[in-house]
Amino acid sequence: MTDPEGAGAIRRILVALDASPDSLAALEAAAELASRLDAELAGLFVEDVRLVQAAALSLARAVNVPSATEREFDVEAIERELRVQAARIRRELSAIGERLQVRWTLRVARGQVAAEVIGAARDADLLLMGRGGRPRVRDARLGSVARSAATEATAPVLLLRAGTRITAPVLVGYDGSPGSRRALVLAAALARAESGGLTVLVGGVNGESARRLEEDAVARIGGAGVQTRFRRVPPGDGRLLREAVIREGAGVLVLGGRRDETELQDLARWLAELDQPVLILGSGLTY
Amino acid sequence: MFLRLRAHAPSGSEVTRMPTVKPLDPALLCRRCDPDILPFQTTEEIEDLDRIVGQARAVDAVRFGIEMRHGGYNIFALGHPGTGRHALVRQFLEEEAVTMPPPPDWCYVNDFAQPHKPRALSLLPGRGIALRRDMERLVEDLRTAIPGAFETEEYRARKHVIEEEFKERQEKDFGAVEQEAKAQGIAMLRTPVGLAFAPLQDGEILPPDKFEELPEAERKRLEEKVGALKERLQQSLHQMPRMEREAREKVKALNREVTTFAVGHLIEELKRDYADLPEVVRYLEEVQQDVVENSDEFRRPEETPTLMGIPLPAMKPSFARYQVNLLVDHSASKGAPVIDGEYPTYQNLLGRIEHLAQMGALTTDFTLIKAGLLHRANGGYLLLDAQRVLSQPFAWEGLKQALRSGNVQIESLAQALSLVSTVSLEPEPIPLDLKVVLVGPAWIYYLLCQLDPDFNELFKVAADFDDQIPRDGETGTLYLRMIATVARKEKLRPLDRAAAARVIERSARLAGDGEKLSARIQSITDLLRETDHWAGRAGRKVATAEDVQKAIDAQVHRSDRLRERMQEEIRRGTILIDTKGSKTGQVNALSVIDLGQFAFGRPSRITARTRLGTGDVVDIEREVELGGPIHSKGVLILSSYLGGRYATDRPLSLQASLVFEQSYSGVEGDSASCAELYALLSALSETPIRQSLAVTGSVNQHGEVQAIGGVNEKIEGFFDLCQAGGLTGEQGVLMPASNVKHLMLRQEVVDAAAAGRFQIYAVETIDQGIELLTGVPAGERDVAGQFPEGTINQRVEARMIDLSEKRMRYGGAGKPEGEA
Repeated sequence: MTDPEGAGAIRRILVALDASPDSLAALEAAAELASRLDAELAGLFVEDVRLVQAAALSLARAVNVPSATEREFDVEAIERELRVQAARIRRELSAIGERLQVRWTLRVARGQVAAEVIGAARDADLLLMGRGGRPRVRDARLGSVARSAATEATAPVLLLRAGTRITAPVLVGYDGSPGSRRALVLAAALARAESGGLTVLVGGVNGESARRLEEDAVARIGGAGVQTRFRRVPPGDGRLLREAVIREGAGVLVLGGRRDETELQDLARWLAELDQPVLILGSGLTY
Repeated sequence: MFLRLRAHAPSGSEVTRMPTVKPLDPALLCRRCDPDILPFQTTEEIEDLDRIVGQARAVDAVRFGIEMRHGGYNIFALGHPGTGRHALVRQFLEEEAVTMPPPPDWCYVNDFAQPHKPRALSLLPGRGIALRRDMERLVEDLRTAIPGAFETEEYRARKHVIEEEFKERQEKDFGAVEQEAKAQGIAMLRTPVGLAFAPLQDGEILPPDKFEELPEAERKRLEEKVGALKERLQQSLHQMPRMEREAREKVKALNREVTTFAVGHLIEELKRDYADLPEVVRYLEEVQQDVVENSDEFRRPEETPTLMGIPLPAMKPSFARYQVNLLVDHSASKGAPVIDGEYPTYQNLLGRIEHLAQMGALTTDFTLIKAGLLHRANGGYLLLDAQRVLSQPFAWEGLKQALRSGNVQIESLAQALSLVSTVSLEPEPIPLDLKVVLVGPAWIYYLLCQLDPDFNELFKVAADFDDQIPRDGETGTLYLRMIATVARKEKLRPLDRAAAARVIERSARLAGDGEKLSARIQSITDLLRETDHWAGRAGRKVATAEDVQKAIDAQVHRSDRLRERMQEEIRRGTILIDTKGSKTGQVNALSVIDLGQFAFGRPSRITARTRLGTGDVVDIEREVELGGPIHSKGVLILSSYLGGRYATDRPLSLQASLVFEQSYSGVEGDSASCAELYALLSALSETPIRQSLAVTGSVNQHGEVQAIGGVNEKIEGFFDLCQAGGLTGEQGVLMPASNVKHLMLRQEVVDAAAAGRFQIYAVETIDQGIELLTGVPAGERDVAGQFPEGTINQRVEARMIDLSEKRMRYGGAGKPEGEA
């Protein structure tokens, strides 16, 4: 979607599912959001083609986690496991769709996971997925798929960790850049959907520019009927950002601006300590 | 109904012959209490009596029992109900108890090492309640102090460091495997349930056909690489639980450290307060340790868990284990306790452990331990009713066990008998130091002495309460004071002199003895209350002799339905008793029917018939098992008397039968043996007996008349019968001379006697009696050994000789020696 003015309109929500606890949290959040915004919920399960390829190799080995036992690893076994996983995802999706009265679809694709997700995100207004990381290992870092999606997807990406959901207030950084403008509009839409407040972190270089940014932001949010507060935070500092999130009691953090892999990685380290969902507008977006 | 002819022991007095017996002086028929010599106008003037009248033996025993502090000197107060046993013992115990210091408080607290064995703590009186309050406050303080300590920035930061350290180690381990794989051109893939390794080629998984094309050595090398990585991963995964555990341990150690800091000063303060009690200090140290180990419970938010919407009980952390169960609290006690064990069941005596139902299961803990009578009386005195203790299942055994061991161990009956298997406790036994006083009737005391070997060991002091006290000057004065005290205590109207005198007389009558007073204070108290009632009805401020008499008459009237019925049936001729004329072989005897609260005399007809026989006196009552052994004994004495007195050189050759006419419910006692002998003598001598007289008294082999019981009731019974038919002046009663001192007859009887319309004869020998009954001299053997012609004895002997000669003529086995 390349309509900056209508960027707030979310009609199709894509959720990437792999049956991990993080992705199920994403599903729950996506379904709630879809229900509130009356949007369509599109589920996507990507079977990792590399798994099937690896299973075809007689020398490939697999280990259960965390029991550390070696297991049978051939094409038939992996196909069966993937089927089971897909069935489980369908069950979860169906149950939640029924419960929240949401239109939903599920697509099962096979291929490179990141590529498939990024591809599917082209048709979506918002992509939700689990934060990822290694299975059953407490991992501070973002998973590789989440990382790729956050930097390359053409839709905003909302990353969730198991046990969390989207709540108000919404915290958004604003520095006047096109990316942050888009983020501001999206954050306002989210805040409206959650019927909660919006906190804007203004990253001006001095008092004067900050005030200008605030005026600018008010104009952009317009009479959207969202209660807005401003906080001044120097831009580009992950640690200060984290503190602001904790201080403000933010329910979700929206980050705009073009972000490349290293910048994101650096940010992620700070964000890892936060449990709150993070909505990232990556460099894949066009404005 | 069982007629009881009460007998006293033989008097042993010498037989003295009197030609004729005169009726008794009316003054002897009732020992009056002269109101004029009483030194007061109404009982209001007499001072209170602070002790019991008489009972010197019991008083000494109780005092001795209280003073003996050794084990086993428990007291059994035995005697008739209503003799003031309970009141006396209680009074003595209370007097003694106030001079003693209050015993220690007892608490049960949790034993943290063995929660099923609660620990008993003994504290000075009043400190138990203080400890309970202190522990409650401690828990309150801990519930704020501990969560507070965990909310500090310091704690959060230190915990974060531990968690980060763990994450880093994990990261490093996994990261290393992944790095290694990457370096070797191997992909680490996520499968739905784990991780897999496969070789890469140009960033893609090596296709199988490409792999097959590889040279053998290369394939082997790849396989080894994958295998090695797999092993590395497995190793690293094996480390994981250990690392996690280490991290958890570190967090736990941190929690402990933080809790110890938060708890330490609170408990130290308490320990200072109880420094003089090492037991309590030790307990407080254990509390501290337990709190530190379970600090999580103080941090957990309080929310009620539910099962399918139903709230579950008590799953939230319970701080009950830090409570103090104050079992015995003497904080308000002035002296040693004196406890009245009203309802001495096993559990009430020894204490009990209650259970709570939780989700269908019964659970308990030390807070549900309840004190028993023994706990409450510990250090003091416990008063128990012997009959109640013995009639409660296992109560007696439990009491003995506790006294023998010197400990009280709380154990439910079901537990003691292994009947249930609910969760239960074994509370630490509490040492006992108390004196138990059992109050009970004498028969229970004697049975226990005989049958229970423990009893004599445990109850070494018997306080024996008499049911009569002497009626002499000193006790008489005390008795009057007692009457005055009861009247005041019961808020009754005072009694005037004449009324008090009537009460004294009534008391003597209740004792059945003109020289004694009844010690059954209960009966006297009842009489005083009833007198007050009648005085009230008559609108008097001071109760008079008339009121006392009214109370007595009303008491009698309420219980004498049976007597009236009996008298009526005699008057109507249903029961055949003559009160006029003369009859041979027939005499009026007197028996007593005792209904417990009320006794009355009943005249009975005794008849005798004689014929030739082999010397048997047949007691028909005995033949049909309506006669008791004492009655049979009396009858056997008769045949011995006959054989020894008349025709001693010949075999006894008569057959006589004796019967209590119209008696259908059994006869016991020997007070009719005189009457039976008179009937026999009349039958043998064929001399008629005056039916206007009735006879009571037992007889021995020498013909001496002996004392019997219930003399007043017996005389009055015959008097009532005669009076109903109109007194002829001929009528009267023959009674044993040794019973004269027991006479406390009704005024009516005394008046009739004084007017000469009713005679009472005190008889010492059978000869005296038979003379009165027949009007014929009895006769004494002359120098030749013969009875004077025409006397009763002569007629009897002649008849005996005649019978024996007839018998010889028939050639019986019993020929006299020398004539064979």
